[in-house]
Amino acid sequence: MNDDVIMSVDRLSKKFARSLKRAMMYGLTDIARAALVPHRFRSEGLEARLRDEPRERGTSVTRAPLDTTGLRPSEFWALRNVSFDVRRGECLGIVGHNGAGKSTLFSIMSGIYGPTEGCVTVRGRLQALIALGAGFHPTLSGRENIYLSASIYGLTGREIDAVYEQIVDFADLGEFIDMPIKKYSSGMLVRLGFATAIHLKPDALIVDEVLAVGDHAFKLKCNQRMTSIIQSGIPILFVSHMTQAVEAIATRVMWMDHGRVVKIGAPREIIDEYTAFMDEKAAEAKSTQSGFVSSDSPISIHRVEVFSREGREGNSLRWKDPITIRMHYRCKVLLETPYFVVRLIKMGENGGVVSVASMSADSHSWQCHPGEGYVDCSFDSPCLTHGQYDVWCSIARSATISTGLGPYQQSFRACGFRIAASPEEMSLPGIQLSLRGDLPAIVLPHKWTCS
Amino acid sequence: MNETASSRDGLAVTTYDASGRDRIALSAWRVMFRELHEFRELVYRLVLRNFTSQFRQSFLGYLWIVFPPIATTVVFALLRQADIVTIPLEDTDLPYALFALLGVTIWGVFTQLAQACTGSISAGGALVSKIYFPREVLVFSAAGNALIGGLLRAVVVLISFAAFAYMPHWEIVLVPLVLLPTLMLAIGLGLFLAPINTMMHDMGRALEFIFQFGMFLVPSIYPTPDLTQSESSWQVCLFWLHKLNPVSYGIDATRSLISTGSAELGPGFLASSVLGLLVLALGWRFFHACEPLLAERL
Repeated sequence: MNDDVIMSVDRLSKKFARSLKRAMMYGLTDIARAALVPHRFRSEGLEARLRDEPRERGTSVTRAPLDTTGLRPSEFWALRNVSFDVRRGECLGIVGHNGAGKSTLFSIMSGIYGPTEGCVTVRGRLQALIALGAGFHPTLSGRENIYLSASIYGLTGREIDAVYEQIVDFADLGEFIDMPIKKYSSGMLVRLGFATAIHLKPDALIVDEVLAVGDHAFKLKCNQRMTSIIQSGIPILFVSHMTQAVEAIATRVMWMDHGRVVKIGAPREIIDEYTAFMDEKAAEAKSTQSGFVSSDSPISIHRVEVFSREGREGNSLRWKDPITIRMHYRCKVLLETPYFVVRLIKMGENGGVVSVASMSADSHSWQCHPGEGYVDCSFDSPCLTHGQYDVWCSIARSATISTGLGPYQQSFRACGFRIAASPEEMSLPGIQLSLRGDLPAIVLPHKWTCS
Repeated sequence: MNETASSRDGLAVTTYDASGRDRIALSAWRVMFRELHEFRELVYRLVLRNFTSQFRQSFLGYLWIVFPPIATTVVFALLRQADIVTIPLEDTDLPYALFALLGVTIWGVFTQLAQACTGSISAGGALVSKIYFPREVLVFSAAGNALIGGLLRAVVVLISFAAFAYMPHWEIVLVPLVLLPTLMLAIGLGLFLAPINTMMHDMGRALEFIFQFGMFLVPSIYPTPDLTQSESSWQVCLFWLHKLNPVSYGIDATRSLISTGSAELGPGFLASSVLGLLVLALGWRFFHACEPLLAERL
């Protein structure tokens, strides 16, 4: 192993059982096997498979059919074929949805779980800032707990003596250090836990959102401490759902999805893709909630697609590409002018409604015959900036105001599209683009004059 | 599963792999002893933590540890005195109360030890699922706490000797030695059952149940039947139940050391010693082999 590589994860897989009863059974058989069956009779086939399997560097998010090789009933892969290295001085950020396997990965790296396949190598002492205050006992004082907790992490009495004063200084609990910790406030507990964990001379760190704890002053102190740790070259695995924090700290980012590595790469690139992906997912979830159609509604939209030119479907468009939104509808009776409405919404920080196209505003009248058909809404030369957009559709009644009845179909998120525009195209040569795009949808032509 | 080697810059390299090969290999013994040595401090701190926090909010405190054997002894002494049960006591100059107290105390220490070890991993669940450290530490620290409890009970026995004005032979100092097989057996059992107990909590309950009734099948409150005087088949049956229970030998040897100053360490005692050592060694080995499975099965 290269001396610069501090943590190395090689084709790591881990399976768990969903059912408690089955987990118990599997556990018993696993124990019997571990204790009784010599190794050479067990994983011959597995090792051969691992040898043949290439060291994958990432898979796509839309996974191949669920991998069930080697699974017993009700088992699933919490981690599948995960590989990466972390070198001295690196900070690897990890992003992924809840349940993507981040915590399982950390548990295996710190030795709590054993891997099902593959292997993890760690040089030196890996400290996880996840289980802050693990091993604390409520009736013992803060002082006693520091010693207890530190010795759980494997420090000897002399080593603890050496850092004890620093821990107490950092936690800054005053005379409360001699009070049983069950009387501590939750903030005080976290201070004590963080102070203990951070002073145990780790050679590598796993950090999981802990920086968001304590009062403002303590948070600043933690951040300072983390910065000095990063500068000292200790490699860090950093997990946070606050992607800005990951982007700010990490030197590389790994995106995990359902136990697999989707991609590893430069922070900005991966986080852009990840947030765009999550935005889309969130919007999809939203659209299933809305789009309400009352059962007696005579007309409804059942499918919406976006394309730039006839026959060239796809949700990824270039700068100034014409955009057509095609709404497929089903109609039960002859209707005089059902008003179709299309809203474009830009995602991201400076997003918002970009444009509303409504048949009623345009005084566009038509007749809708029973059966299926589609309505196109075309934008010929939209100067929309780089980023992710949502399309919301609805059908209003021609006489909504006079009858007091609701719309035929309420507004719902129908689909999304992405516009990729280079800074030059948008005449913003100095801008740094992200996929999600923090630009507003339209940047008006402007000039600067200084005097 | 957990190899450690040193690299050039002195950092220990730890490898976790799926094979579990070196947990079965002969070299695992070295690892087991090294881990125990490295984490002896933690064992000590956990023992201290449990001991000091156990009765922190209790008025009678450590007295609760010594009540059960005293209560059992008092009840049986009373029943015997009132002629409700007949317990012959011939071969010994020990008063019945002391005789029973010794038996009940040793059985109690044995069962407490085995039960504490068995339940230690489940009890330390929060810790086990959060941090890695050799899990044996939990078993051995539970054993440490149970042994402290045993020492407290031994103090009660010594006080009782004084109360009955009974002068034991000086060989009483050898008692820990003849109890060693019993203690090893208890810890070994605990090491075997602790991993299983993490999945099937029945194990702890089953033990409690078995031990509760087991007390009446060892020479605790009555001596082993003397077959030279009676040939009743029930007595033969009971005789063999005692002889087949390895704990009986520790109890008998202790009593005879105290009352006669010598103990006959026959083939039975020898066999129970070998058994104790064997169960401890195999149990520890078994525990070590399935250690990586413990956290996820809790």
